[in-house]
Amino acid sequence: MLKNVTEYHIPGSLDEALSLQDRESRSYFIAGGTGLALSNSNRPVELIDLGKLHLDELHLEDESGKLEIGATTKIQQLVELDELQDFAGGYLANNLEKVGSYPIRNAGTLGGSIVRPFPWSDVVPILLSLGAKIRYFDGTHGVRDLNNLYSDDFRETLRNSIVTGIEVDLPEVGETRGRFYKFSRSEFDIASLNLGCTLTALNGKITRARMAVGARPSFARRLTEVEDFLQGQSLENDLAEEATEMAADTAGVTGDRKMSKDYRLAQVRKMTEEALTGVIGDFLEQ
Amino acid sequence: MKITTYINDERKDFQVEPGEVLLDLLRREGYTSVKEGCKTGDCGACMVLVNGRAMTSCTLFVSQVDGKKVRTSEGLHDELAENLRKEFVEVGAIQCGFCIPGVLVSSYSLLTHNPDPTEEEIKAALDGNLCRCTGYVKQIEAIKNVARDFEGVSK
Amino acid sequence: MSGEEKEYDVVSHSFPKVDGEALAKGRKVFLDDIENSTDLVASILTSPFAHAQIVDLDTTKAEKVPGVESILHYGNVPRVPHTTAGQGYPEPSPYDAYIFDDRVRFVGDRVAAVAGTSWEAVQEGLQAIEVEYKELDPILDPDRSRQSEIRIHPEEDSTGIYDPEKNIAAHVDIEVGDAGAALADADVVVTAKCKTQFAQHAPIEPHIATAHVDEYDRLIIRTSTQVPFHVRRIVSQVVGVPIKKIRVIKPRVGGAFGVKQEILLEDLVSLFALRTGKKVKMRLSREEEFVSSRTRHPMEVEVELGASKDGRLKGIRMEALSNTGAYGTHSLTVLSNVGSKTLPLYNEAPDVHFYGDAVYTNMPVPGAYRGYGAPQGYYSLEVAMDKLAEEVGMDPIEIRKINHIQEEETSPIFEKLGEGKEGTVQYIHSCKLDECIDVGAERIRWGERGSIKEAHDTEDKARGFGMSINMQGSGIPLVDLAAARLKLNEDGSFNLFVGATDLGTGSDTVLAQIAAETLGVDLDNIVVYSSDTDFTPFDSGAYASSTTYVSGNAVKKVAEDVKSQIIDLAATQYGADSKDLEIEEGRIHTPGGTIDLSDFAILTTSGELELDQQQIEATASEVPAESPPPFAAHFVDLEVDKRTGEIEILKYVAAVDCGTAINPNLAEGQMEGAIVNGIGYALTEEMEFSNSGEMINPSFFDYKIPNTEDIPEVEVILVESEEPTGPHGAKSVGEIGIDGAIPAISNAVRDATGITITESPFTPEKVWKKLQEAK
Repeated sequence: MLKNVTEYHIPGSLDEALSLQDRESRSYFIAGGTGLALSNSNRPVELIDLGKLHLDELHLEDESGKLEIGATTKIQQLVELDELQDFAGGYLANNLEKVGSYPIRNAGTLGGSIVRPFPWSDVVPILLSLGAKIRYFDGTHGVRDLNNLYSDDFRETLRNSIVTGIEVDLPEVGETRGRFYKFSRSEFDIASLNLGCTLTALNGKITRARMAVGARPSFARRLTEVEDFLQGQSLENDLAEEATEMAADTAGVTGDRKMSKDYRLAQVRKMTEEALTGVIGDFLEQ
Repeated sequence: MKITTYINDERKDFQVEPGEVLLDLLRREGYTSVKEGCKTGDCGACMVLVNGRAMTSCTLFVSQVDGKKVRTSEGLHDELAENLRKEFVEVGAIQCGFCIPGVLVSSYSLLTHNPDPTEEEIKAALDGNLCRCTGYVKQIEAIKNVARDFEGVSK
Repeated sequence: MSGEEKEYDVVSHSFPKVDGEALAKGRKVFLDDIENSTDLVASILTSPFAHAQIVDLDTTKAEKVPGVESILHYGNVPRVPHTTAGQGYPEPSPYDAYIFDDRVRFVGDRVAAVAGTSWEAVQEGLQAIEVEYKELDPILDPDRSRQSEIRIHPEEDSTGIYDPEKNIAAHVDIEVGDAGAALADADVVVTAKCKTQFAQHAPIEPHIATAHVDEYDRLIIRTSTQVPFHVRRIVSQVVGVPIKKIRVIKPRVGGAFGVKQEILLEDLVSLFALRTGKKVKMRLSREEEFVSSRTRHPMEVEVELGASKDGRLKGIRMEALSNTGAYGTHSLTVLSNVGSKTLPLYNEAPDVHFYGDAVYTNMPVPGAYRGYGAPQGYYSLEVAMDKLAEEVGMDPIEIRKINHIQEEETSPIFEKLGEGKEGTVQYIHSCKLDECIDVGAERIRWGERGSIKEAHDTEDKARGFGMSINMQGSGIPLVDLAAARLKLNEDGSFNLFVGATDLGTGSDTVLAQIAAETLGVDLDNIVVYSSDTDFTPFDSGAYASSTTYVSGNAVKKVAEDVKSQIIDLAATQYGADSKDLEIEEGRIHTPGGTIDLSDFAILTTSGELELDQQQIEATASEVPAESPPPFAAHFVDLEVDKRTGEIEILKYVAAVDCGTAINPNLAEGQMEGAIVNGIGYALTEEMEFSNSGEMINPSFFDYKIPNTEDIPEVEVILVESEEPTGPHGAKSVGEIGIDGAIPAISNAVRDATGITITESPFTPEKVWKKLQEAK
């Protein structure tokens, strides 16, 4: 219950939605509603429902590997959509199933999962490890790298804009495969650590690598050093060893009540190694 | 604000506070099969179908079901629902019964979408329903039994 | 004695629960559904400090909040030392609790309560209460508490505290023979010291109670409780209303597991009803349930075993340190049970010493929780047994078989140690533990474990097998009282009135089956009404694994009485000798012919025939002389990921001897639920606290009980015996299933990796750290 909410708006256009935001930031956008409903906050006085903005569309160009997903698409829809079952070897559809529980995925949206600043989000590292970009509207349409999501200036931009969707550009040539790991205390739990990696390969060489780690326990980030190291290399199993140390060195993990720093580091190593050997193995088997 | 919803096939018009969650509205209106067990979206005792999809009603604003179909456990009447109930009772899948309306909503939702689920699929569909009495063993067994005898309900 | 196979018509059959259909249909059977809307609702203001003196409490502003109708706090309620434990009178728990006190002893302790016309008004009222606290040094650790100058219960009117100066709520020390000498003389000595955490019962329905004063000035309390009669007595005691003016009614209960064996809301809701004259409802939120209700006693238990070279136990020393939190509810009895429910199992050891303290801290309040001390005791005991097996080079199964108690044997512990006092002499009349071990071993493939491990072990993964054996009890001998009343209706059906309390366990069904079997009628001719202090006879309540055995025996007695009344009356009517009559399948067989019970029943109230019209009915009481233990063997097949420390249980098998399973489906269900609860206790469940004693994970979001995807394959096998003192051969099954998981999993991890995990829950990081240390 948000007991101070008095107004409920259902704007018909992005411009209208933006114009409904008030200066004191006491109006809140809702998509799935899940996160906000749980907040029991006294702060919101107005809710702006994004449900009628047709932000739940999906475009996939098989040829170019370009994927666009609207922000109000439910997570479970993405798990089930036929079009996504083969995208990046099923990476997106298969791994989004690890988010929350079935009813939570039925209600929660892609945009809501990105915008709410949860460092343990699984959605963010899954998308980061696909090299996703975020689409937003702040009067004009903009696109920005999802990796900037938690940077101060982008959060400031987001404060006065609406996330309209994400886009993923897989390289037009080559195959993309990935692995995502989530470490949690039980099956229905938020991550204590998560890590995702995709590799695109062509003729035995890695043409693109994307790797991200979340719940460090701070916000997810891309491991660009590891990506740079991997890109251009030949697909060989011994890549994993060097990349693993690099991932541990650059992941920036710390300790919290769920995991000590040492333990988290050990798991970053294990996840990185398993992800790379797994993906490289997929390619080598082909 | 005013909303119109179709609860268990019946048109309902409500004057609501937009910040209210669906669980509170449903219980106030007497749909008491919808239970409050946590109010954080974790226990699934308040599970309902919204346009056929299982969701926890404690995490939805009433305003979000404006114009939508809501089905609560007491509104499940067809053969599949009755078979599920019968089988749950028969195999001993009900102990205290507090979680059961929510579990039945999830089970019903699963079997309407997937009439022949594997054990893994059953577990995945019920992963948002906590039960502290049964250890889930007989609940899973009951769903398997119903699925075996059930040829699917067209949605 | 046990072993003979009996044929039963109604018991030993898996009838559907008598309340099953109502529950499946989601009908209005829980209290929040029955009393969906009350005049007033109320909530509690709780302490933000672990330890503080309330210097001033001002309700002036709160009283002015629109909708607020009544406020309770230490300044305006009676000060009556009591215990919140719903135990038989006189309770073995200290009287150290007050409705409200000017001192708060844990984060979540009661400070005040507000009743108002809406939850919002109540919240606003609670926030408007101005409280000035003087913070005191909190003591969060039991060992520190014993040595501290700071006293948690300095008040002079508390009674029954073992040593208030040292913050020791309860103390136990019993010795049989000379354990020290036996250990000194033993060929082999092993020790295990294991520590358990704060864990919560987490019924899906939180505590809820309503109260109102009826037209005849009687206080009517409806409450989701395990102990309606103790509620009536304790409310009378603390609120000052005579028992005759109170009626307590239990609706369907949405799970309890011990946490509802406690008077947590009933005193307040009663005071509000008495003061306002209105119907009041109180309901804990999930967060309040975690923070302010009850938990399991965290403990540190050390076990030292001495044995001969051939593995025969010579002596056992067991020491327990129990953290009883801010109040001593169940402190003595849970501590006693750590020894009394475990040590008799290994009666091969002639010399046994058990001692320990239950110590106050400024932490949440542990109380009764399924297993009641036994899981904590079995953890160390069964880990030590595996160590001993290894020391003497025996299979863990074999060493248990030569040491555990057998039929017609006894243990001196039974007499020395009861529930907080001396116990009673007891011989075991039924024990199929060896069969449980054998069938469980077969189902888990114990004999093949060497080759399975060899085939599956890799550099990163290690397979392991572990087991544990346990016993529990069936009620509290010479303390519990259960009574039942049965009356015949004109259609040949019967009303069965029991004080016994169905918590979802299915006891209404089980008791109806016992009545039907005894009477010789169908189950659907028994109409059960339970747990209403005005209409049902006394029953101690649903705890200590008592209902099937103790209440069941009361039901069997009353059914025998009613049956003989029917036969006597029929004998008179048909001019036969009573001994020649029998009732079977709802028909009375006489030498002259057969008559349906329904046809005869109508005569008993009719004036048309020669026999005396009368209500055939009876009441019977049962005070158990013994507490026959059920026995169980638990087996685990698991895999440890050596890089993460994660434990994946691949298969869990438990075989249980609960005597006759009155309803096999429900008996299995008790085991399955307890096993999964035990797995959660072993692996994921832990209440975590800040340095100032505040619980930091009070939600299902952050306190992880198992869901469908967390459970392994679970197989339960009922190995039935015939308990001669039990109703139709039955013993209990409600608690024993939770005793095995922690030790069996710990032993399997040791089998897999060589490391012994001595602290629950077995989180991956704990296992990983031990593995790193062992490298």
